Amino acid sequence: MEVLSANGISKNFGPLWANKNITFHVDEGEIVSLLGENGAGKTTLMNILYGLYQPTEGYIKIRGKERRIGSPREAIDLGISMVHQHFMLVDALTVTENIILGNEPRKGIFTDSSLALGKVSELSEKYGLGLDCNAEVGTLSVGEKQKVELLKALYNDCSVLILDEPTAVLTPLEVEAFFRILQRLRENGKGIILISHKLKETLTIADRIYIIRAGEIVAETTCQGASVESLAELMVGHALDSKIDRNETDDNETVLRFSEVSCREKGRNVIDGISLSVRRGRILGIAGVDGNGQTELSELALGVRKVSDGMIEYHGRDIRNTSVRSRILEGIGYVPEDRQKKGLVNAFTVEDNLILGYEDDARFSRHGIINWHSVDSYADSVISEYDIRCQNRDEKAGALSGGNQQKIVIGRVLEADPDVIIASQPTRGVDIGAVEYIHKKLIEMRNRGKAIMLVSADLDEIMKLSDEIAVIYDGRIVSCAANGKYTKTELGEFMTGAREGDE
Amino acid sequence: MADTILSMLGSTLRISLPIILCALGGMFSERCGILNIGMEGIMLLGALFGAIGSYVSGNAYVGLLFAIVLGAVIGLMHAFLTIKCHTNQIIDGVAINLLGDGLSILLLDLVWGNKGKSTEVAGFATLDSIIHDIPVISDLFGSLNILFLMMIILVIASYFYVFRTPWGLRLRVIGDKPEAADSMGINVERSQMLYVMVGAILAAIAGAALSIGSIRYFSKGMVAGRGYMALAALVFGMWHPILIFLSGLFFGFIQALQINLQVYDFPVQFIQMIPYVITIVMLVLTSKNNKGPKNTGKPYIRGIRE
Repeated sequence: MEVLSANGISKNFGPLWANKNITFHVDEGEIVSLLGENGAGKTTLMNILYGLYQPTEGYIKIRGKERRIGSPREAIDLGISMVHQHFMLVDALTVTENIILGNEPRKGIFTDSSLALGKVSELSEKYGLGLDCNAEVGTLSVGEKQKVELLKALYNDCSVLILDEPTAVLTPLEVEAFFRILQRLRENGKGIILISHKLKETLTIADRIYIIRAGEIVAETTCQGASVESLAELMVGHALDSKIDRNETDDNETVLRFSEVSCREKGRNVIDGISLSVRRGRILGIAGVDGNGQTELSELALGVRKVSDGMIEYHGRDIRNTSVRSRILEGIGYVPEDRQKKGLVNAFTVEDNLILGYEDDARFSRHGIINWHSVDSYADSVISEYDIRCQNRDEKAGALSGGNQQKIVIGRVLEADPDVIIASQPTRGVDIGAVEYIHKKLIEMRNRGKAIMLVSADLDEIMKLSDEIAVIYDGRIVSCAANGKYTKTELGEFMTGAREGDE
Repeated sequence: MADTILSMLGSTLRISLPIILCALGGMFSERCGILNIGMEGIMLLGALFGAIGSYVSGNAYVGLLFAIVLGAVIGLMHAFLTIKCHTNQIIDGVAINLLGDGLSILLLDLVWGNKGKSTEVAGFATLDSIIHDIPVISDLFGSLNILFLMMIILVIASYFYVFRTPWGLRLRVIGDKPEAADSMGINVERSQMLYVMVGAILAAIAGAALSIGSIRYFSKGMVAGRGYMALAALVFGMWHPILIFLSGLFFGFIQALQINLQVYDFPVQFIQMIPYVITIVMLVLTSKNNKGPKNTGKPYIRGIRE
């Protein structure tokens, strides 16, 4: 039976139509996926279903009845719950407190804490979530926090559950566990709307798939009739040619070398005796679950952190005591993992962001004065070369989609012609069109003889691009071998510390 | 000796009353995410309006009512500017303090024709008349008045409100993660408006406790940094009503100690510095692991992420 349907929903922001005539439905006990690139209009649609926006045209039916959803409260009361892309949890409060928020059981004017705890624990058990409902949310892992979000939706007795990119922050193992829970919810008759741009995951879990492109639903398909390639094509709107030839050169001299490098922080070795060589014309992939030292490793190379022990050499020269500034000028290019925090200034224009960190380079300034004419033409050329989709170079970087923001960061680094490129999670939160593009660029750089260190938690990405793969776990390299020696499962075991050995 | 200690404890209670009330007001404001460093100015105007109300009516309760109305008006102003217009919360607070300074002198001159000090006005009766026969108790509580009892009730009620009721839970979420509250259908702006007003009203009552509570006149600049000290007590008390009460008592004790030390032959300016120096030292010692509501100081605008 149909629980929710959108009928001819359109929504405009000024002249821009974020959604055009969208019609879809979800039944009880069904997982429907809305698949589309970032900026395709998925989030707008969800915000309409959740009462945050009103549609310009069209209407929503809940169990066959036309309904106006004026606010999140009304959505919740109608049985619609949403798990947002970013956790809506307060770290300082307990699991139970976070879950009952907005619908607290009462005893007189007081919160009935024991009833709340009982209800929440019961639900947690019923769906096999295994949460300690008295724990402070701040002490939980990312996977557990995601479960708290699910529990929040279940507590509000939802019949429709909207999940906005729920696996973006989960490790492969956590994703598996998460999907098992979703299947249990499906068996319990919930209608689930899964918003994603991840093709493989969608194919594993969804019953039906709607593909949304440029605000419109362009196709509806079942999993049986679909493949990763066909879905990708529908999403992007044209065939993807991801093939780019790798050429092999004999000159694979080491450009950046870590020898027995350790980094001690708060009495603990966050990096513990790591030796690695980043070589010309090669991509060294660093695979690992977030928080195992990859951030520290990149920052040691850049000089943001200091080496406690061991040696870092660049072109055979000890660089342990050189400044970040000089390392950048000498050709160490850095694509930081968190473009919002470290890669961009959202309030600055695209153009400003394209020269950040290189503003005193001879390309842009003489005697300390920026030559805006040359910056203008440089910015225009990078924007077209890297296909950065923006109105013009004066648009604020914060207004761009994640993929286009990332292209700014990558364009800025690559255009400075570095010898070594340290790319940290270069495609995180980026749509597949941009992912393909960034991958192509990295291989192109490799073919041009750049030495590349690619840090990523995405094993598919690591296995697609790397010549060599090193797995980092708990600050140590637990495996380092040519790409192809280990299967994805084996690499996954290294990543979680389940397997150890041969370097 | 015992007498000195008793009278010192008595003055500790008297002095800490306005600090605790004001810090409690600050707690509601900051827990909902809005800084109000204008507490000092609101206290000053609360003291003045308390005196005016009491002067025109001859009744301290009317003075209290005047102070409450004044607090509500300034609270509404601060709330409107910071929540609806997204002005900088610090600057707005500074503006309130400056307004308090200037406006208090202007009104003092208009009402009493004197730029320094009002005439004597009606104040709250002390508890002395009821308990003066009981030894020790009368020394401790004799110089206090109804406002002190009110404060005790407010502290306890606030504790239960914040940690035991649904609205308290929502308050704690709003200051920490407003988008989480919004996503659960809680009206963030309306709650913030309300709590900022509650905070300002408590600060204004704290001011009135100075003018019509203990000394029965208003003099210019009579708050003398107590509003700021209350903000320190708020941080020191970790935004928790009971701890705020205790840290307010501590600050009151330091003040009382300072007053008692003045009889000794030592430059009085140094002795008067003691409470402020201790405030700074305490904040340095405690603030490292002492984080308040995470989103305080930033406006909440739906859909904007950092």
